[in-house]
Amino acid sequence: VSARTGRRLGPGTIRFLFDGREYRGREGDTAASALLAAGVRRMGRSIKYRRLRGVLTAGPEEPNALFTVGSAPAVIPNVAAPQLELSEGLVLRSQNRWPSLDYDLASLLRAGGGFFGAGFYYKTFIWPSWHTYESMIRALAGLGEAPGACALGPVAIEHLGCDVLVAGAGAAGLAAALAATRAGARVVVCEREPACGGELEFETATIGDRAAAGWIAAALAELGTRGARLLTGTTVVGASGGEIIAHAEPGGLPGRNTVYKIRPRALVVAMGAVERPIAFVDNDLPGVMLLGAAERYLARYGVRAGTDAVVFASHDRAYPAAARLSAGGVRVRMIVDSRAADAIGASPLRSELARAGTECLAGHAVIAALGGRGVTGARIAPLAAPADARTVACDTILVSGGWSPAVGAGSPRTSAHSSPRRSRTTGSTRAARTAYSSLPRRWPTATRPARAPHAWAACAATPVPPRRAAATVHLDSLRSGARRPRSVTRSASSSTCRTTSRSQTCASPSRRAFATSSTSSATRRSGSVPTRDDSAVSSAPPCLRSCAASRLPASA
Amino acid sequence: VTRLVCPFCGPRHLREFEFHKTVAPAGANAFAATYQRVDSSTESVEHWQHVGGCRGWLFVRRNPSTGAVLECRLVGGGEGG
Repeated sequence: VSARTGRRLGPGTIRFLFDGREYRGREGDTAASALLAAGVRRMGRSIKYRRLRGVLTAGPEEPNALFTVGSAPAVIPNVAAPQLELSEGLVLRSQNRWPSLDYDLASLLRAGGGFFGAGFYYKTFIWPSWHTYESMIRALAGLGEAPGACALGPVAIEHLGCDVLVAGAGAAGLAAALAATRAGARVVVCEREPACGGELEFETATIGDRAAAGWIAAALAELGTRGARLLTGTTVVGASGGEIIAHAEPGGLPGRNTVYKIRPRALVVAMGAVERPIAFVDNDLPGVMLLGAAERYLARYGVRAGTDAVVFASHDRAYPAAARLSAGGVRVRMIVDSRAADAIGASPLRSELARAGTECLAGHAVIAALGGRGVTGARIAPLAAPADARTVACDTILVSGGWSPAVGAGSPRTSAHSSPRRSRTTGSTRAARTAYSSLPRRWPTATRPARAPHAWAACAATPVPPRRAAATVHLDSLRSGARRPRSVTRSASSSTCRTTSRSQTCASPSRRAFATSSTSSATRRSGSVPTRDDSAVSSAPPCLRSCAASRLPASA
Repeated sequence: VTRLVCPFCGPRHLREFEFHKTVAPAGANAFAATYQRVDSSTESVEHWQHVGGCRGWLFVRRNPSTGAVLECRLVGGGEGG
């Protein structure tokens, strides 16, 4: 372990548990890099058919290596392993498997997969009654497990004003920030990763007359002396009106989040790009990884993605990447380029790689990954004649189908430059806003629930988290209260239960959609109200607290 | 680019338009259309929609380096997908 050298690694050793076994990682490691370094390649299973999967990416777009963090009941599900920084004593569990990751009972379902056309189409399970299968299927559904208690801390909100907000501190973002500060602007730079530089971390490039690493250091030093504010580990997630929302989850774990509401006069979107995978049979086996991810793991954490690799790509960058991986100790057996030979052109790097023992194919494609519990080979065929396939033994397939720009927060739909009316928000926020706006300012006496004190007493007993919880409860009790007072208590308490559980998993405003749905269904099933410690409400930012309070009706 | 010339509505500010996708060259098979796009710094072929106007679908050829619009017409004419 200690022999590894990587740009982001520190000297210390960190111990952590994964599925009950102890592993050691280095300071600066993420869960994914430490496990890869320890030779662990199987990190999760797919939702329905429980196919074994390994880590695919080195960023927040990770679809497979999602872990549950912490010990029951206060767990945090669906944390992306490549984002999760190690800390001493961290407890991690793989998801979607029972009884263990390697031997999963539900994976037997794959044998019958051909009989359920679209996975678990529920109408397959109608005889003799849906309820015969319901509990079983509900247990299989969803991603991760709902927490039994809240592990999330308060969210801090910070308001910032600046002239220029730069989203992304790669080469482009740092250059933009430098230019802006030199012109005298107040600049805030948001970077998703804990370190700046983006692709420059592994790219062999020079900027001006400096090598990449030196240029980054110089740029950061100059930004510091000119008073720019650098927010690392902070993702720009969207815009609302003229306000840009950035979100920091230190260590990749929700729980000590900070939300930045930034009002810049100009926004520079330099968020880089997301690498695209290529579709082929069994391209989700452990051992299939994005080419850029393999480079990141090597440069940042000194981890080799595999020992024998086949690179499958459709662009020129595969060749320098393969050369860097070879230099780092990955044996690149073959580069499969899907472009025709005349579209690639000759390059000295190609002939150099060929001399070093890497076979370079043009106009070919990997049509299938082979292996049961991990990649053991690849089927490779000419695109023009897929029947002429041959098999190459390897333990890793590195895929790169080009890049898609990461414009999530900077697309015309949500950018700060579009008019506030056109700025889109997430469905849930919109729903909450609708709920608020449809509430009467004062409760008309005629529709005020006759036995409202009971309903609100129930709410008070279970601390209702701020924001839309209050609004939802309010509407429910209003509707049922107008009809019959007796149902008020029941509906209010059931909606309290629902909103409480939802807000636990939704405290992180980004993803977690799966966790949300599984939480609420779990709560409904068991009928119990999850406990939540009182500090959650009192520690909410004052603006949220007053907002929730102002929606409570005057007691009758 | 700050404005596009819509064939129906005339020159309009870019905020009325919505980018849809870049367009693969005509005759490309599905694999090439998906994975073998060429990102040229001098010419980008795109579909846009004039959502804030006539809602027509536009075929736009432009230079991403300079922002110059080389061609802007209605979609149609077998330019691929």
